[in-house]
Amino acid sequence: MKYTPGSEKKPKKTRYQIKVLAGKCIGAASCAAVAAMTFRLSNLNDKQLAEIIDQDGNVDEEKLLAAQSCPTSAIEVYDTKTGKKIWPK
Amino acid sequence: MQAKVISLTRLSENYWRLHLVRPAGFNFLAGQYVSLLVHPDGHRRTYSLSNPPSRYLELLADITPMGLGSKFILSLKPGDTVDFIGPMGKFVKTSDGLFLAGGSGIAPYLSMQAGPIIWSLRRRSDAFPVKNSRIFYTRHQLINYLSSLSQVSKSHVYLCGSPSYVTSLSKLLLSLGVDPACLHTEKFV
Repeated sequence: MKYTPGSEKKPKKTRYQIKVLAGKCIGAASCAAVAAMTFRLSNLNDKQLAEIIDQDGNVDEEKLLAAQSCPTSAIEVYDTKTGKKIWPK
Repeated sequence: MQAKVISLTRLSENYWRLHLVRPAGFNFLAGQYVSLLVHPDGHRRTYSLSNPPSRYLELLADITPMGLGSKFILSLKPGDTVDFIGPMGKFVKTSDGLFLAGGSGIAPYLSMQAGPIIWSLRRRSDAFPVKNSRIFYTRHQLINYLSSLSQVSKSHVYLCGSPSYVTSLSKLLLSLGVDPACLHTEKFV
């Protein structure tokens, strides 16, 4: 399911735009586990928080799953074609 | 991935164990967790696997919050199917040490069959029997106990619980001389 470097699954350009709400993130890392080429944990002010490393690192389905897996709903997903927020609902 | 529910067992006032059939091809390491679909609109909640790798999967749930996850767990019946993704997480046992848990943070240690476990609970009614564990109901008692352990600074310490539990105890353990490289943490809500 995850994109691995060297595979041909990496999308060139994805439709969903994601945003991490740092104030809500607790560093649970489920996003990085689901979409490892899009998210990683970084140290910020002594806390481990999710950071976006590549908006197009994983396919849209994986990016949405990563957001839905976040226990604090700290990841927002927007559809760039319609401009609407699709997660959290 | 989907798994069939075998049973849902009440362990104490607010703690329940969900017993599932392990789907073919699903393998995990003791200490990992899964993300369970708890609402048709896509909401998911994470639950640690609480049994050693076997033919079955067990998830430990604290239903105190009574949110989407709690309600979903309580609605399950034998024969139902749950949808999940995983396994996830890198909180695995790499050495012996002390295993500190806040609430349902005990789940990964049950999977690792680790001990000694120093378990913090809010209420006596939440306790259920766990081998090689010692339960504390107040932060004061816990801090006194940890401060009295002469070997704590030379041990690997595993810490799993809520963000506030992990953050505050990490500071305490570091002040007691625990090597940051020997402090292993996992936060969840």
